[in-house]
Amino acid sequence: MSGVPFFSSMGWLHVILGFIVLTDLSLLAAEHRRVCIRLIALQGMLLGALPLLMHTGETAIYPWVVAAIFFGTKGILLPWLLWRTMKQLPFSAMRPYVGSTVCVLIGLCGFMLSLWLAGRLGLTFNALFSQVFPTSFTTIFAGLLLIVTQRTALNQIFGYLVLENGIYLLNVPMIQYENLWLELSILLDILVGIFVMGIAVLHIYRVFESTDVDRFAVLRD
Amino acid sequence: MICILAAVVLICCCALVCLSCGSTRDSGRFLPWFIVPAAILGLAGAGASLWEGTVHTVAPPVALPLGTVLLQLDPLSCVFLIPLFLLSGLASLAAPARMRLLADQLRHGRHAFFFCLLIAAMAMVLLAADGALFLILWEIMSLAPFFLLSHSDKTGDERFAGWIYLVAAHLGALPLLLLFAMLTTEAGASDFTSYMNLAGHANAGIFLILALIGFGAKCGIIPLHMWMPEAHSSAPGHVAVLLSGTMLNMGMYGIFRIVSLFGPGDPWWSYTLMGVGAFSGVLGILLGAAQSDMKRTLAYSSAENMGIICMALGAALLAGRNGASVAMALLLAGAFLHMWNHSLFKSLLFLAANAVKEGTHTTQIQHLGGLYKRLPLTGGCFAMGAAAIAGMPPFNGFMSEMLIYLGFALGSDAARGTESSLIFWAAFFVLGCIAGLALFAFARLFGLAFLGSPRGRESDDACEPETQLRLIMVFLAASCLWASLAGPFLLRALRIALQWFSQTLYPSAPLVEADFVLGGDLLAWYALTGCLLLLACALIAGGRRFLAAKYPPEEGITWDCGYCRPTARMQYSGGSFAHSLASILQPLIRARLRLPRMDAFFPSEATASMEVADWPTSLWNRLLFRPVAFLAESAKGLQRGLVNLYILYILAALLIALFWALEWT
Amino acid sequence: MIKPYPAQYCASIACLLLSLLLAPLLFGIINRVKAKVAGRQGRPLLQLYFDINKLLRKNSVYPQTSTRFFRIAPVAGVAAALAALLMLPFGGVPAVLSFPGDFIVMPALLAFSRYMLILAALDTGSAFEGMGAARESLFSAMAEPILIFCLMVLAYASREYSLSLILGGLPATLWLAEWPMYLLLAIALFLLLLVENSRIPVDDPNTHLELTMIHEVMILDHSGPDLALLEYSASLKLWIFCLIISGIAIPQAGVWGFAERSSPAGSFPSFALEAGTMLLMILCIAALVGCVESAMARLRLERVPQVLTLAGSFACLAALSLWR
Repeated sequence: MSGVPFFSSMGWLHVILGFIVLTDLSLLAAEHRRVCIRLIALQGMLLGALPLLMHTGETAIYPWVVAAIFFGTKGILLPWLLWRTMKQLPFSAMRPYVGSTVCVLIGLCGFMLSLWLAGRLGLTFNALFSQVFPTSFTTIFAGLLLIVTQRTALNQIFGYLVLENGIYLLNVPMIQYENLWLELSILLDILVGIFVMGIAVLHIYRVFESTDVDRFAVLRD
Repeated sequence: MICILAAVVLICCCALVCLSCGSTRDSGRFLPWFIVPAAILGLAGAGASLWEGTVHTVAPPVALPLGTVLLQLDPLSCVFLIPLFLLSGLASLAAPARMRLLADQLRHGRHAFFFCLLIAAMAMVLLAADGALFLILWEIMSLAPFFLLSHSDKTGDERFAGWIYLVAAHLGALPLLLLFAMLTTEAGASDFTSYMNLAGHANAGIFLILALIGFGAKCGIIPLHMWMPEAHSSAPGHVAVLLSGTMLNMGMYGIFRIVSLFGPGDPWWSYTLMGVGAFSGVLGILLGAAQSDMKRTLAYSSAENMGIICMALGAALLAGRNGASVAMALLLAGAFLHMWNHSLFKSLLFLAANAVKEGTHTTQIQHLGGLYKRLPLTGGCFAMGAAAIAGMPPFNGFMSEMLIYLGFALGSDAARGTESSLIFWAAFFVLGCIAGLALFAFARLFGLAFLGSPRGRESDDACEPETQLRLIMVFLAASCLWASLAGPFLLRALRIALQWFSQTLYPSAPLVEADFVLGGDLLAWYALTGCLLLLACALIAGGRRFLAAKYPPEEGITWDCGYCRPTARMQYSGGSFAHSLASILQPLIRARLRLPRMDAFFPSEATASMEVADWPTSLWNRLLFRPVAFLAESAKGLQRGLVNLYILYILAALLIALFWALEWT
Repeated sequence: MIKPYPAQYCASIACLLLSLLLAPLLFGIINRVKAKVAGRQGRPLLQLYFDINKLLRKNSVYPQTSTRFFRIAPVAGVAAALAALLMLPFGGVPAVLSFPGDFIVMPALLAFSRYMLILAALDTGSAFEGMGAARESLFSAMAEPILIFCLMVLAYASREYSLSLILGGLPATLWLAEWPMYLLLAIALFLLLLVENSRIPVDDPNTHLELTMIHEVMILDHSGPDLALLEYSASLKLWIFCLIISGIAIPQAGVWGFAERSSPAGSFPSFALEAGTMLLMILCIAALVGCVESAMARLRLERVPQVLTLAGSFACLAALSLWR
């Protein structure tokens, strides 16, 4: 981040990217669902604001529209849905497979790895892309880590969301070409997925009296 | 060179004299008479040629079966000869009394003979400049401690220590045999100068790996350390000084020698050296911090210190590759100084721990406590050694670590923005962790063994050791302080050796005098800071004394939150002190905890214990030793004791050989 | 290197004396903030001065088991903190002693005082103090590498190896270019401040249960002038951490456009202004500690490593943001 002027849009972009990495790590560290959902909402809002900073195209209205859509879905709608689902589930202390301290350390290693990769891959075709790559890779990594380490289905949904945020982040630099359809379709998939999962989680809870994924193992045959 | 050879001859004479005395009670008394002059002679010779940086070669016209007798004294040998002669002189001063204490278990003549042989072999190993000669001397050096350790085979522990040492020495010699055989076949001659032609050889990486295994086993790099805790904890004081203060350095010497012969190598050389060093450093101090035996803690901390040196060497190679000559100078200076410092404070600690063992017949922390009141001098010396090894200013342990820290920082600065700088940061952090854990380990060791009140009756009739040993300990403790104040002088003494070493690595861009200015300045400032710290302590203590004269202090029982009948058994023990560390870092320490269940309202008597098994060793057991033992056991079935069967074996072997030979041609 | 000149030495020594004089005030501020938040009147701001003054005029009681180490520890604590303060710049005013590499020596001096304190605690032969010693040595073993790593990252950022230049002469351009890094490091160091000075989320100095304490339980048996020295060295240590953090948080005063350090000699008003800003910042940090203490409860002991991991993660993020 060296040598970037303080108040330029690039400076702000770096700040936001830095905050996204921070939310990733805090998600790995968080131990309560409420905190997790708030962090996801924060991350969604930050991600939603990104198109404004990255847009260098002609039309002035386009980035605002895109930003509004993503801000609304990622920052407000999805967290709200998750919040509702969480309220309907009983309180349960999360018992992750791997402790949060270790998770944070692994996440840090992931960040280091992605910085290193960004340097190694030599992503020069798009200046913005190479700026965004480490953060997005870290986010994807954090999402995977959340899915792997968490026990309950709801917490795994958090992981999927973070994963999707990472993929979205890879796609944001394309906004220069005013072409976000791929991303929109993925978002739609996830939205549907959340609905299905949200409902499924409730059903699962009613059947198994728990959302512990360990219990799903009895379904394997 | 002449001085050093004369010293070796003197030591050999001493060995023969001791042997000729046979098992008479007091053949140990000859040791100081021969070895101390020899040590002074050797120190003078090595010091002079270190200061001037000359290289002497002697090639007596004696033939060896596979090589030549070629002796060379170069600056690298001098660096290692100095602690060797210093400590062997001190050890020989301490030896007679130790041997007298062990009188009924010991065959004096034999013990003294092997003691001398060990010293002479180490000195010669440092001089040998021929592969075959080096190996022969290395074997002598490796075998001599076995006879020193197995002096008494009355207890199972000591027998086990001797055997495990022998096995480890042999296993460690195997890769070296392979290494020198490969080198000799590739180079066509067995002297080191012709080895140097192999510098850019395609197999240079294999040479390094073999050297790391072979020499690493000698200097106790984890996971090749399994002989060390056993051998060091069962060795008597004067032998422990030689084992930990000098013989570990021999392993380091091997690694340094191989690195200097085969140049800087590929970048992965540095990564491997740094990785091995970091692993050994962290694991050594972690396992050491949780031990219940004083001497075992000391042994594990040797693995830690060797790890630090190894890390500094790897980082120096990396810095040199990146062209950071100041960082390289700092790191190499730090590595060599740390080796010297380690020799000083580790031998001091082993001697003091041995004095504790002689006084109380135990070195288990849970039986000790409150020793400082009974052994104020031993305790004071141990405190200084512990502060030095824990990296406390103003002592010398931190002096070399500080150079290494700054070397890492400068190295990362020179490699700005590349992967190397990340690696330097990681090394910096790891060194910080090692330093922090060393504080933990040695505050625990000294605090629990020497302070508080006695935990058992063992220390009731403890008394100070004899005057000679006390003087030696005071001398070593004073040199821990002196070395840190004389830092710039020591750096100046090492400078030519460092320049020589860098010349062999990077002939195009060796270190120049200007590269050492920063290190010299830092050492001078450190000495000044140390003086200021001591001065401030003295001033404040003076003020405190003035107040004490005005308001005289009184003595009472330990307040202990108002509980007026504290007993010694209520104190924190070694296990409880290390318990939280062990539970946080369970994956690295693998302590086995046995905690009592307390479910009744009035719990009855219960015991809790924590056992720290050496898990790298048990891993070796599981992966290597047990399968080999199983194979060996099953091969026993071949031996039936029937002559007919043996002849059948011979026949079968002949037939197989015949068919193989036919197929081959 | 900083070229010394007389005015600067005078300023350095004046700042050192100021530090020595004002350090005990920090505890007063923390307590006052806590009291105000809780709606109480609170102790006087100068309470620690009164305490020290009173303790110095009492006689000590030494436990029978104790040896010399019990008596040396308070002295060594103050001496080490004093030596560490000699190396720390006060804002733009350079330290009395400044040499390349002092950023490594300074934490070692703090470690030395801690080592002596641990030995003193074990010297009493009491279960409580042994417990405190075990905890203190464990947490400091984890905090020390993070502290020294933070300082190394700062050195890397400024390419200087002396604390006076790392913290003191932080150029505004560098600060503005790398401000996220400095912010992250400031957070990491603030967490370390809480751990190393035994403040609330980690340790509660005011509980009535000795079982739950770390630092306070180690000095249970010290009394009279010894206790005064220990309290004073604790306040010096807090002051040192505040100095480091405010050194990071405030770049060279030139940023704000009201002080020029163009002339190498530096004028008295500019020194005074910088020292004044610094002082204000230190007091603010103390107030912040007070706020944190009012807002949080003490964490369980097994949570403390998590705080340290958090600090370590911030330091690591700062380093990575710089590396990139």
